[in-house]
Amino acid sequence: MQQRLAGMLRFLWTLAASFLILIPVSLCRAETPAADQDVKPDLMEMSVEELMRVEVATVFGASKFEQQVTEAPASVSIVSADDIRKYGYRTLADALRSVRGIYVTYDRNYNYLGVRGFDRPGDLNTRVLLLVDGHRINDNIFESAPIGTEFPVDVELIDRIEVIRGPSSSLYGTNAFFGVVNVITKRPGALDGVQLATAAGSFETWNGRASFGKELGNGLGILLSGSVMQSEGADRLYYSEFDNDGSGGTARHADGDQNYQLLAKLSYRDFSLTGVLASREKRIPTASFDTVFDTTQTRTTDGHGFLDLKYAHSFDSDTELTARAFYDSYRYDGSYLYDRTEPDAPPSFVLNKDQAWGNWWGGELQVTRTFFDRHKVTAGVEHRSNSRQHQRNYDADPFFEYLDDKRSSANWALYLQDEIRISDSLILSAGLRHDRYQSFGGTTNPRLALIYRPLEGTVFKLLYGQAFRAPGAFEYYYSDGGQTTKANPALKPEQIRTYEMVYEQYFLKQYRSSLSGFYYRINDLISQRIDDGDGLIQFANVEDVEARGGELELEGTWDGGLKGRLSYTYQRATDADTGAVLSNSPRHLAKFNLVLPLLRDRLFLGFEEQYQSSRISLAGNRTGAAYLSNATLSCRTALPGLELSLSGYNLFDYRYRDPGAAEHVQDMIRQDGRSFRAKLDYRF
Amino acid sequence: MTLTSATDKLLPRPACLQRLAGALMLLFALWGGTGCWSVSAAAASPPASSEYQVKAAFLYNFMKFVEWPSDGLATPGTICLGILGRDPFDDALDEFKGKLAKGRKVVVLHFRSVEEVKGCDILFICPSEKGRLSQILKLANNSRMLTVADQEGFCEAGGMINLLFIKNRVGFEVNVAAASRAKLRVSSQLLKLARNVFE
Repeated sequence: MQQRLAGMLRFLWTLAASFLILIPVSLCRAETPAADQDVKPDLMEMSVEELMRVEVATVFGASKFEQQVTEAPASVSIVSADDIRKYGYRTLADALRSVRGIYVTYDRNYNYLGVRGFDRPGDLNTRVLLLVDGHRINDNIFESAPIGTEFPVDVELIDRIEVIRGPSSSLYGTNAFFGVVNVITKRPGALDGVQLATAAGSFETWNGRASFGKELGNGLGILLSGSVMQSEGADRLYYSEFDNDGSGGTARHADGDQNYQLLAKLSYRDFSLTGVLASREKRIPTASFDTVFDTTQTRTTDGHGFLDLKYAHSFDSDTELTARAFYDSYRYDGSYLYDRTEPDAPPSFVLNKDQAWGNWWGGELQVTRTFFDRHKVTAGVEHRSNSRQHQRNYDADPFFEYLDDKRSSANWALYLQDEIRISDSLILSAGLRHDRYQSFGGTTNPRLALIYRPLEGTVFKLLYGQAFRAPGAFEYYYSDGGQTTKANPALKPEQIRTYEMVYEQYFLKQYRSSLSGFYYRINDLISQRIDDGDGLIQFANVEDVEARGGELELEGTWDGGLKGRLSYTYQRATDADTGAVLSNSPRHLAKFNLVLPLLRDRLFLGFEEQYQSSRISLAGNRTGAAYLSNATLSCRTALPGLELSLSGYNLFDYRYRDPGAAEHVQDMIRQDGRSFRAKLDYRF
Repeated sequence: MTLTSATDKLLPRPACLQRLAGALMLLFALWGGTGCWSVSAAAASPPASSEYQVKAAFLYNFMKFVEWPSDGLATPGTICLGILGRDPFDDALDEFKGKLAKGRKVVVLHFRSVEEVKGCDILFICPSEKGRLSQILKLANNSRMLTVADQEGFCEAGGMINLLFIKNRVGFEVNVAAASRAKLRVSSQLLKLARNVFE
């Protein structure tokens, strides 16, 4: 314990010291140009061409229209394409891990997002809404947000990621519970030609990507991209829980991962059509759901595909109309190897197939109009029809069917938001959305935000939000015939109420600081529980939980590409009845990010340090703290268009573990040690 | 190609490594501080700027790339930017302090109505004036002022340069016909970069 504390203190000291050194250093730098006139290039000194490339810090997802981050009715963080490149992020999970207050848990199949101290083991990322260019990605069976290698878009095609904390059900409905992650993909013109990329890394990992994008004038833009990834994964993974079954506790070649991701975007004037098709297959080394240990046959495939047609038209600068029609398809194919050897009989292994197909289509119509210069009103209507929600579970040979559950359902919603400029320094944003479900009826969720800017560079936000999450088809109906899991059609939606205060201060041009405090209360949380009667896993509205905490962040951006960010989060998520701290909920999170330009605009070092304090596992054990250090060296080579980057992840080979869920024998699952990646990018 | 793979030991990170990590980070910070990156000052980085800071910088560029007729600017020795309506720039216009364009000092003036506008070379028509746009342009286009705004349909209505805000970046369109009617010449460099040119 003492050692852990000492380690943490040392870590925090290092973080604080590095940033404290940067501040005076940058102050010196800010002063030198005064003596040496006009050396410092500011916006005013930029050419028109350079200015056209300058990105303005805006967010779309917080209000469903483009607005400045300081005016958004939520606490917002942005990860840019530049961050993705310079910090060497391989997946969406990598990128989100760097964001203040967010942590990620990996069970060697899926990555699970933790926000505000909530990351319930067994929750399949259902409480965060994931959007790609405003299109909902969470499927209609598990309601999962895929953020690992199963995320359907190559991270290198991301222009920016908006992380909007807090409930946004008042705009988006279900899943927008703890927050919304809106991934905005690159414009065709941003590629401007052909890009080829290839990467090789530890665990025999190989990536390849070919993309083409162009704005052809006369309003026509086209982007086409295809990516593949293959990884052998860890050769050998040792789990002491299985050290007595003849395998020696080692799962061999059971961690492989492969995917493909296709993206097509076509835009013509006010219309844009996006098509995505992606699939990933992952071997499962943990022998989850009581399957056979040390086999390569237990694996899952997740496939996502969608077509999204969007029409966005501005009638004048006061009125904007957005219409969207979409069709989505999701496919899950799990193969689980079971040992069904009867006592005193020859060994018998059976492959159990666990499958799901989801199809849904729908549309959304939204009008944003400004009245009397003071009211910006957004009104919308949305309909979603789940034409197929099919779950199946059977043994392949001998054939035996446990589940064949076919459903369809529909829901619709109406929403209204008004952004009222009470005065030049005061904005009130009020939103309300009513959702109607066939299964449980209606729910209405408001959001209120008061944004006060007494001085330029000073922002106070007072936020209240309410959200719901409808139980998914999986939680309602899944049962595998009494093997591990049973259904619960009596589930109700879970509800959250949140209060948050944010204070942001911009100073000395280069710095942004923010301080926030929050209180979240969830009623009727849907959680996995094990029925004492029959020992089966079931979802139930079992808990009322609450979380409170605070966050601090300091961010700096300087000329020449130097930037840094330091954040600390304190959070305490507890069971409202017993006061017990929730499992998989670290009390402290600290992050440090730094990009150092080493050689003009040619060579950059991106460095990350992440700390999370110990978490409690389902069995009540402690995982111990985790310190992660990642570094990426990226360089523009002498050959125009050719870029090279080298990344090291978990550089100091820190041993850390994430809590397992009810389906795991392992109470805690060990994570990857040090690994590397080399990447080449060529554009022409 | 396996560069390294997870080994199976469950050892805590040795303290010396942790210290090394700390030392390295300090080193990076110090290294940066002693000026290693100061040489890179000329590189164009995308800092977090506000929309109107960028737009102000565009206005500054327009002063350089638009030529006023040979009988000169409104007031000799200065180049005057007029802001008509409710100023959305916050303190972004402070950046003009002490700036020179075409060898002349930049002056910023604020006006509440178009009738008050006098002695300006560039007139920025704020979003608050949208309802009165056609009336403003009728008066403004008579004097030799470059009219600029950031409103949909501005160029179509006879305005000269319209700033666009698309996908987080600022661009612009130019109504060359309107500019030449006021005997203003927009440089070809600028026209090349415009998203739309109305001839």
